[in-house]
Amino acid sequence: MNKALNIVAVTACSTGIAQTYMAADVLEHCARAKGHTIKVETQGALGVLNPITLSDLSSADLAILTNDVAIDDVDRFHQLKTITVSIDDILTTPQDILDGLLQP
Amino acid sequence: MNAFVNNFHQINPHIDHFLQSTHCQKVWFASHTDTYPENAFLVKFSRIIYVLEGEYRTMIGYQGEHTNIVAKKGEIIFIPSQTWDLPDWHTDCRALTVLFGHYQVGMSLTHSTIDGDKDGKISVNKATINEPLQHEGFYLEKILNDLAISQRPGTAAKCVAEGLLRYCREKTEALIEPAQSATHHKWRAITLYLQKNFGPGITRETVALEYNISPNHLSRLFREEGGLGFNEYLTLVRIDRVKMLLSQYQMSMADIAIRTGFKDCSYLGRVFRRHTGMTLGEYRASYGS
Repeated sequence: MNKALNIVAVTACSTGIAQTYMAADVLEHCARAKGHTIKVETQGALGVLNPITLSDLSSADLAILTNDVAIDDVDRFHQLKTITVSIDDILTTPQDILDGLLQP
Repeated sequence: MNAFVNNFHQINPHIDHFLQSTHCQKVWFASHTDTYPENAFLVKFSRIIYVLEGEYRTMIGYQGEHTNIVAKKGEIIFIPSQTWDLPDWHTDCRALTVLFGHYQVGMSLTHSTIDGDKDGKISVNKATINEPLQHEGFYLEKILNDLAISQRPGTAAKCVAEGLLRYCREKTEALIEPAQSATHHKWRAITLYLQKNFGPGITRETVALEYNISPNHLSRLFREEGGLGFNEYLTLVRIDRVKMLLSQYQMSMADIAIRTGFKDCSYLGRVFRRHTGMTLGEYRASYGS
């Protein structure tokens, strides 16, 4: 019994050079493959790209946030069920993260 | 909402010191390899790393092989889009990575130190220039990409890489200056539009209509802001795309001509030759994968 989720996510890594963007691609790819919709904001050296808006938040079921460095404006997500993961987890075992979302 | 802090005041003194005291010594070009390490950094935009102090250790595809390299102070590593690297931060090093995004240029100044700790220690300052490479910066990055593909980097690469850093440094200054004029913003918006919309049917008239200005006004905007006519700019964008398609895809010349907005293959051939001094076939033979 699969439920399609509406996910928002923010990725950020310490150097902001590459993993931020790779993790965003991986999340988008894996979430869509499972039938979820997802929007990923990146906070890297290119600044804040694809920002999560208030209307994104209001329609989201849950948020995935990385915890390698402090996320900018994290208060936005306080009302949402939030899953915190490391960039490495996203890059190495993205399926586990997405499978875990449907657990109670 | 965006509280992202631009740390130009932290980064710029290091760039200035580097540009004043050091000449670029060598440019390493990362090359494509069929396989790459599991943790490799691989992104859709190109990056360049300037080693400001110490030694930067990383693994890249170099002449087709996975190679550990040690880039010393004054050396530079250029990593084209879709090419990987795998830095090892366990070293005393201050390095500046510049990221060339589609709409932004990013900077990340990393300072790593050898440390008993397994993860080493690294401090980072980031800053963003909220516009893509333009003018000379746009061309300098193209040259580095071409040099990377040709794998025949000469001494010119050092000058180009240094020029690109100077360009980016000046851009950070411009951010502190008063905002640029409305005409400049309009020109910029149109060049971005053209970089996505260059196919058949795109003409001076259709673009003018899209931006609700007269065709003559559009031409004037390009001459005054870009120093390059509208058609010249559009042709450059198209030729650039042709080069990419020739080198990375097995598409027929006729298909390439259609996709890039040239009326047919022979016309494309003539324009291409005028711009590059090569025929389409010669270019594909030299740079094709």
